[in-house]
Amino acid sequence: MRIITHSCPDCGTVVAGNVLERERVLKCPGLDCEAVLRFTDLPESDREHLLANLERYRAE
Amino acid sequence: MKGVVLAGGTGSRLRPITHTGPKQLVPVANKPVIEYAIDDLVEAGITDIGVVLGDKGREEIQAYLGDGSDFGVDITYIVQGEPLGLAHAVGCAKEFVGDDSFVVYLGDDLMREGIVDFVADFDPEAYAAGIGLQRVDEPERYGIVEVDGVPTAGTADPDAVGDVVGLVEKPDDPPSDLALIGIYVFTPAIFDQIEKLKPSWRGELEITEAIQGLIDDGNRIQSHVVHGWWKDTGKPEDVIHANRLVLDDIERDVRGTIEDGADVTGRLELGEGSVVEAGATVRGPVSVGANTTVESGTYVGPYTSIGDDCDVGDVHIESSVVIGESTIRCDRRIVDSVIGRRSTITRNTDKRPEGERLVIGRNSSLEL
Repeated sequence: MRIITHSCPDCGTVVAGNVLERERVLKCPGLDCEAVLRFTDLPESDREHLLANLERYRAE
Repeated sequence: MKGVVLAGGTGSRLRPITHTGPKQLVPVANKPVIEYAIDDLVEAGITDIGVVLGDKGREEIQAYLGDGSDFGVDITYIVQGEPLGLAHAVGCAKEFVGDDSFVVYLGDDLMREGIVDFVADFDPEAYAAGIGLQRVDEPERYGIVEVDGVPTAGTADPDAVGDVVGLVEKPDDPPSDLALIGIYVFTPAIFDQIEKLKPSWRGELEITEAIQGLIDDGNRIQSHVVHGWWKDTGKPEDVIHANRLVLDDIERDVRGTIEDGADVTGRLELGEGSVVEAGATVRGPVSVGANTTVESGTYVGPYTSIGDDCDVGDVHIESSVVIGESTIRCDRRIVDSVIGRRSTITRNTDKRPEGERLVIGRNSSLEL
């Protein structure tokens, strides 16, 4: 299964693509980091893959 | 080498304790379980650590570990989100580990003898992965490996087992008595195998399937037999047992006050600001955190840990874990119990109508 992640450009915290897809926009979960992370930060091919395989990236 | 500590999961087997916090912060001998993992990595010379977090308890773990500087490490947080399996958690660490080999340590595991030898023995030039193993009495209850060349009884080095050539979960006909204990070292080759995985019947990406993929592709997997106890702290009885195992090794360390007239024998850890009052009895090994009072008339028996900011009075308690900020003042015997933070247990003998008065959260368990 393709595992997609994104690193916060400010603090380096890594966020899984499934979290970005679920939240769409979120404050970076890194400690004391004010950056805003968006699903659209992911490359288009990653976004398409996540959306096409939503059931795989969601726990039952 | 880097370290990856897996600190996700829902902690469902530890409810109700985990309703209010992650299982990785449940204390064993007054130290959160995850801190033992960090300490073991540091002891093995690994200070660049990724901590993989789920949705449950993420902020509490970050608040406790911070940037890692209090523990002598540099922590990168990796937010996995949904609990999609150990292999998914490891896969989320791909950017963090880069081209390095890395140790994967389950954040709710304890290992008595640490991982120094395990890390030192791993040869990334010859092996794609190394697996920590331990001999078990009932292999059909565990994830078991098949190895080539199991020494027979009487062999000079019974732990000089060969490479791992197969893995099987809870086998009816175990190929060996060597169980997976949840400690691994991987080269980045594992990531290609994780990409090939499909969710298992339980909807998770299984790390054992990724390792089997390495084997099937002709990679060598190093075995390493770990000595001393290891313990998963997933259930309340596991926490009590782990607490017992750790307390067996503590040294006397009294920073608080033992009043004249207190009866203390055995090894006792007593935190700053804590008091064992005159008339109290403590039989070690016992660990008491900071700013806790063991009042006169109280008996604290062996293998008990009492956290910070507690008042314990007029009770007999042993073989139990009191997490902290609790008041226990009742004429009862409490044994083999885990008592969550900010709990209150008091006497009801003067109240009418007679009976037990309970305010119990979901998933609580009482034996009255």
